[in-house]
Amino acid sequence: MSRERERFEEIGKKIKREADAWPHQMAGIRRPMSGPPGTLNTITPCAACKLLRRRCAQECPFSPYFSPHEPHKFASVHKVFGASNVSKMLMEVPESQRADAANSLVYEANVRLRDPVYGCMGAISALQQQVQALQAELTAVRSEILKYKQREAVATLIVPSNSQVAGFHNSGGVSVIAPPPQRPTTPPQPTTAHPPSPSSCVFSQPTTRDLEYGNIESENNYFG
Amino acid sequence: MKESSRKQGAASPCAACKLLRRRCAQDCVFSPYFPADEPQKFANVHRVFGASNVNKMLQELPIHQRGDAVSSMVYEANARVRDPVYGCVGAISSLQQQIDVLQAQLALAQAEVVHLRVRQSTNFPGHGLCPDSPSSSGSPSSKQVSPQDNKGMFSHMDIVDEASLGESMWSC
Repeated sequence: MSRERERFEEIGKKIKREADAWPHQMAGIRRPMSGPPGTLNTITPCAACKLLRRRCAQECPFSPYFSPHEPHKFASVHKVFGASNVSKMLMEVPESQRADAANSLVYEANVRLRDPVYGCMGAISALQQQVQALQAELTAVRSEILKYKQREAVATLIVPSNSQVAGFHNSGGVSVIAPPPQRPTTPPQPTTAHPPSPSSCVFSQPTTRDLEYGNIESENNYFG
Repeated sequence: MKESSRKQGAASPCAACKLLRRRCAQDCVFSPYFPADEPQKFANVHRVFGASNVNKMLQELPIHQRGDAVSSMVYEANARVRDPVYGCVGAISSLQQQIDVLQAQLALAQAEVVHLRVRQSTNFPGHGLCPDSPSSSGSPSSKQVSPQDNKGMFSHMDIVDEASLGESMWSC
C-alpha cells in the first residue's frame, strides 16, 4: 500500500522532472521527438534505463527483457558485460531468441560475480566431476549386479542334487572348493580444486530448446 | 617517438594494446596474459566482456589468481561467441541433464542390487535341512551338524557383509 503510493509519487516526480527538462533538452539536442511528449513521459523506464538514468524510448533494446521490478538482473549484467556489450550481443541474435540470450547472460553474470576467478568454467568443471563420479558409481553397482546374477546361476545348478544326503554333502564340497570371487573395491575419485584448462574442456553445442533460467538457477549444485 | 621508444624499450605491445591502439606500459594489466601472438584471444574477451570491465575485474583480484581468471574469461567468451544465445549456460544445462539421467539410472541399479540381495538371502535356507523356517537365515546355520556346511554358510554371510560395507562406502 505505502510502497504503491511511493511508486506513484516517484512517477509523478519523474513526470514533473521530465516536463521541466523538456525545453532544455530541445534547445540542447535539437532532434525531433517521436510521438507527443506526453506519451514518452508516462512510460515506466526499464531496469536498464533506470540504472543508467536515461530516457526509456519505445525502441529500447533492454526494455522487453529487463523489467523495472527486477533491477538486480540488469545490475549484474551491466557490471560484468557492460551495457553497450549487452545491447550489441542482444542485437546479434534473432528477436525470437533474445529472451533466452538475456537470461543466459544474467545467469553467467551472476556466476561470475559469485566466483570472480573461475566463473562459469568453475561451475562446468564441478558438474563434469559430478558426472564422472556418478558414472564410476553406476559402473560399480552394475558390476555388483552381475556378480549376484552369476552367484544365482551357480546356486541354480546346485539345487537339483539337494534332494539326497550324498548330493547335499557334495554341494557343500563344491561351495568350499570354489568360493565366489570377492568384489574389488574402487576408491572414490579425488576432487581437484583446480579446474582444467580451457583447451582441454569439450564444449558441446546443445540442440535448440527452451531454456528456463529459474530451473537452472535452482538446480545448480555448484553453490551447494 | 624517441621518448616513447626509450620508455617501452624493445618490447612490442600486447594483444590488448595492439587492438585498442594504445601504448603498452610497463605495468599494463593485460600484457602478462594476452601476448601479441594471440590476438583472437583478447578480441573475443573484449567483444563479450569489454576491455574496461576485464581491466576492472583483474584489478580486483590478487595477482596469483589473475591467470586463472583470464583463462576462465577466455573460455566463456569463446563459448558466448560460438553460441550467442546460450553461451556457457548451454553446456551447464547439458551437464545437469546428464547428471539427472545418471542419478535415475543409479537409483534403478541400486534398487536391483537390494532386490537381488534379499532374494539370495531368502534362497540360502533352501540349502539347509530345515526348509520350514525361511525367514530366519541364522537358524539353518545354527542347526547344521556338519562343520563343512557351517563353514560354507558363514563364508556367504561374510560376502554379504562385505558387499554391504562396500555399498556404504560408495554412498558416501
